[in-house]
Amino acid sequence: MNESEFEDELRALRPASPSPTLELEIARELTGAPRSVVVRPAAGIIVRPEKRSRFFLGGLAWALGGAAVAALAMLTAPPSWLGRGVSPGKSGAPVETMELAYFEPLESAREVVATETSEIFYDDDAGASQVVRTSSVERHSWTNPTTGAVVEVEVPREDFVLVPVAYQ
Amino acid sequence: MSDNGTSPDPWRVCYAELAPKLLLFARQWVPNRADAEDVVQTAFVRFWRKQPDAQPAHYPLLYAAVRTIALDHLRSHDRRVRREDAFHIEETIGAQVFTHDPDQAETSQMVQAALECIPPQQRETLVLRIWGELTFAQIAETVGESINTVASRYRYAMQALRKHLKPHEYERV
Repeated sequence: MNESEFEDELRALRPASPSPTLELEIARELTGAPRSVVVRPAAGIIVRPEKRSRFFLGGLAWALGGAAVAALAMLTAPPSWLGRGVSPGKSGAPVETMELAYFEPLESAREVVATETSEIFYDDDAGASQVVRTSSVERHSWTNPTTGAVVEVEVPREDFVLVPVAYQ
Repeated sequence: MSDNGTSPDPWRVCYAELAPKLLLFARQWVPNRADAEDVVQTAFVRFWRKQPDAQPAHYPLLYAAVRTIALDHLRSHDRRVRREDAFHIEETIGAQVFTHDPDQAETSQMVQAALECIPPQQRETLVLRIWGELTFAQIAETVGESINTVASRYRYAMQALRKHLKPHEYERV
């Protein structure tokens, strides 16, 4: 085998493609796009809106909401949306799949459904107090900038707030 | 495609063409694949921020950027390895550097193994020439050496590679 044939044999070996996330990371840096959320079936991660009350008790509701988003995203996107380390296929296709799985927070709103006040009782720390229970529904939406798809989640929420009672 | 749906962003065209080659080049210095991808990312972003209107004629500069960042990474990595020597072996074992093609699986493994036996300076010259498809002049500019030097390194690299692959050729015969 002469030099030229040897070179040709070497050139026949194609360098392995980078993982699909590399192009996304570069795109994010070059376009200055805000860091968005990758919806992954294993993680079911979404951006949680700012917490509004220390008395929030709806953890289970959030979990259900996250599961709903993950399930919806699985139905709307192909299943090959794994992160770095996935063996890449043909250049381009996995990246497009990853882009399809990006959602950005769009809107958050809360609607109070009902309030209920307990009887007055005596608390060791706060003195005479009442518990005010507020039932509400939070609506959060995310949008996919690539496809324009919108995911909406409704989360039932209950807040219990200890309110001191002033006798005047 | 770009946002207006007309044509791809120039950097995406460049990425599609060069990313595998840049990654292969980076891995000559930074064997760990994830680290090598970080190197490529940093180099690529710096390059396109500096030259948003870059043309294909400028693309060889990307190899120089990858080289600089990879060597910086290597220096910091070496410092870390001295502190965390136990992790060294694990971190330098990387995935395949060539695409997985069943017909060429044996060849690619042999070439990959042979490349690791070649001195780094010869190896980078070989990689830039064969898989980066750069001219000797472009390689010389990339590594900061004369054309004669890189041409010699390439010749020695080819000889060394053939030498390391020769026993396998006998086995195949």
